[in-house]
Amino acid sequence: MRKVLLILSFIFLTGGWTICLLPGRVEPAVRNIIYVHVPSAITSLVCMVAVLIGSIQYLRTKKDKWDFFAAGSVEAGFIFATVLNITGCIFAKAEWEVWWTPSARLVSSATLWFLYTAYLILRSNTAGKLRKKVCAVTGIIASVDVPFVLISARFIRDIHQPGFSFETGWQYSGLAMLIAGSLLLASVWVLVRIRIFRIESKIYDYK
Amino acid sequence: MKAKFFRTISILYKDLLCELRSGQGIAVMILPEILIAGLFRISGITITEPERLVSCVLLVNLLFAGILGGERTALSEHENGCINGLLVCPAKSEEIYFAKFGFNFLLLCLFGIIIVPILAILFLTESNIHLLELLFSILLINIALGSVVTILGFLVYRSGAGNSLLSVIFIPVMLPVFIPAVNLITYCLGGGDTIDTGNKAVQFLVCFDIIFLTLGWLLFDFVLEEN
Amino acid sequence: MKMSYFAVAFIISWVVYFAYLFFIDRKLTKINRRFETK
Repeated sequence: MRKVLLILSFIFLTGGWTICLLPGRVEPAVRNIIYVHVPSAITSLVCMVAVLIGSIQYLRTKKDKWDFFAAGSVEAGFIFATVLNITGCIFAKAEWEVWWTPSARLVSSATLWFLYTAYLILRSNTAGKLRKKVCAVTGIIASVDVPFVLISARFIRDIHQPGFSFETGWQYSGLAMLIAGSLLLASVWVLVRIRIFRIESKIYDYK
Repeated sequence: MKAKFFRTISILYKDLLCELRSGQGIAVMILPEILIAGLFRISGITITEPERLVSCVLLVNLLFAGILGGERTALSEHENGCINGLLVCPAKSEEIYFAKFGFNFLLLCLFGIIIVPILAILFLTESNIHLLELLFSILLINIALGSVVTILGFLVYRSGAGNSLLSVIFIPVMLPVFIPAVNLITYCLGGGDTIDTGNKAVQFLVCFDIIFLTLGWLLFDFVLEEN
Repeated sequence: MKMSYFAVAFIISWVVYFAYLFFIDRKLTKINRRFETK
């Protein structure tokens, strides 16, 4: 399963990048960073939803695998949220000459990053049996930001982020392939991390 | 139903009595507020939109007050072993949650009532303040603050990680609430925003209030239970 | 298609990273199997 997902994500990402950079190239060259920005935005939001699902299921069933799923999703989503914020800053600097502006969309994306960080800090500072429960409750409270990011991205029209539309079909398909590839890569990371967690827990059981 | 209500009220009354006797909570909240407001006033910056500045200062103060108050709620229960008494008494965890939430909410409202005149005297001598709308919006913000800080205070205490962690987790959770809150309070203080932004902000705040209250109510059981 | 050194290095590291993920997965499966049988 993991190998299949890995190979698929490799195909999608490589193929997507080939399409995006060759036929689907956007002029001025810096604008191509939108091809990194949009997939990482979608993937980080999907990872937060996965954290919500994992946390709720852990609190319902008390099975460790759901806690591993939530924690793995946090780690994968954290990387994508970092990429989201950094590429957003670069894109804003290139397009509108300002690194950062306090509009709702940017603040809610930064909040997403801080929530991932808070979960990771809480997870590493809590010891013992309470760790899983504390992190599950934190994950549920943290995922309240996701609808706010979506609403501020779609419905609140800022001066700074108008709706983006492409010119050729190549660009749409390239972006779609990159989104699919990023989601598959995130799932590979989460599955590998779950495997590592399981091995760790078996080691601790032996002790 | 009546019994539930009375159990909640009795726990709330106990907390209010403790607070009245010691008076620590409100004192600890007022001092940073005076410091921040005084600093802004002394700094001599040219303030072009005093309403927006006051709304930000007000929200920062409410945030700090929320963090300090929430910390104390969990700490004061655990330090003398009162938490054992609380768990053993016939109140369910949802009743305990609403009692603690009510306590934090009342404290924050009291704090708001105290600091708004101070800020108005310092900054807003020439604005027409919509007082009723201001009170209503502070009420809404305090509901969100109180509901989150109650459950997060207990959560962070149970995690044993120290109190500094409360601010780390509390501030990002509250940021989506504060974005419409700034616009709403600016409008209430007579600032540049129209009533449209005010209406949208009220809708957002009511949504967040309902979400956070429901989440706190459902999750408090897991935070309180022993392993 | 003119490519700079940077682009070549990027493509090489891209392929190497995916190969690394592939082999790490095999290693983890072997470790897990060792724990299962014991």
